[in-house]
Amino acid sequence: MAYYDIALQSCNIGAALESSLGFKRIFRAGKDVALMSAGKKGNFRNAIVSGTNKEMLAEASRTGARALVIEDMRIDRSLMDTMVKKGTLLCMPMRAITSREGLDRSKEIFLMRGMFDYAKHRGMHVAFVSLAASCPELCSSMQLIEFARLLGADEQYARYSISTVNREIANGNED
Amino acid sequence: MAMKIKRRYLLVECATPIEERGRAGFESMLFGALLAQVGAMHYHSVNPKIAGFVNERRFVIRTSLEGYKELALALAMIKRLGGVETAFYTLKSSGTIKALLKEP
Repeated sequence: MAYYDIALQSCNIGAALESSLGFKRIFRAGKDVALMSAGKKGNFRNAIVSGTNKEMLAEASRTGARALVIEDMRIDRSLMDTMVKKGTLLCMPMRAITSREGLDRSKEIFLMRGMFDYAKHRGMHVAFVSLAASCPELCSSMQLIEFARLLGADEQYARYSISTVNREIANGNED
Repeated sequence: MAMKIKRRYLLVECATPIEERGRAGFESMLFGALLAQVGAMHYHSVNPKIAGFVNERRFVIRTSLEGYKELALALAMIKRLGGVETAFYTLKSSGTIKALLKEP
């Protein structure tokens, strides 16, 4: 099974590191796939859109965003409804866990577990990505699978997400 | 008859080089950081031990079979060691060191 991850453009990854971490490819958000802020004006089509404002995120979903990153990890039912209707993927950045410490990290895990649980219940596809800004924020494929399991995914779903859903974010439905 | 303890070996890559002279210090700092991540209640079940160094960046860590997933997660959460920014990537896991170090 080939695994894929998405990191930020600022993350300088060599081909050797990419393969030793167990990924076929680590896509760069901002280069291989557009990454936009929900508040900004522009074409959200096929982009990863991140933000906290639920209205703006819902608008991005309606206008064709491929995936959303809900930064505060608070569940908004109407936003999730829009995402389900439009087939928008939910992106869970592991950087939110690894870059925090102590109680902040625990709180983030709690919120992300709740978000994943609700998304799975609504039948949404969830992508587990590192969205690393630098190399120390990256995870290996094995660690990404364990993070997905920590958030409540079973092993089969975790592997499916990291291989198929992550590739879909960067490439659309094509191979 | 004593029950055989099943172990698991993980091949771990460190983002920053581990100096040969400072390996003992590195080991104690790493175990301190792991204790902080897994907590005193779980540390004994993870039971980590460095089985050997492969090169200046890679090493093999031994753990119990039931604790290896927790160890992989704990390693991913360590981002600073001894005041230096670093990261630990779990590359492979196996039941024997021989299989772990075998080239794919």
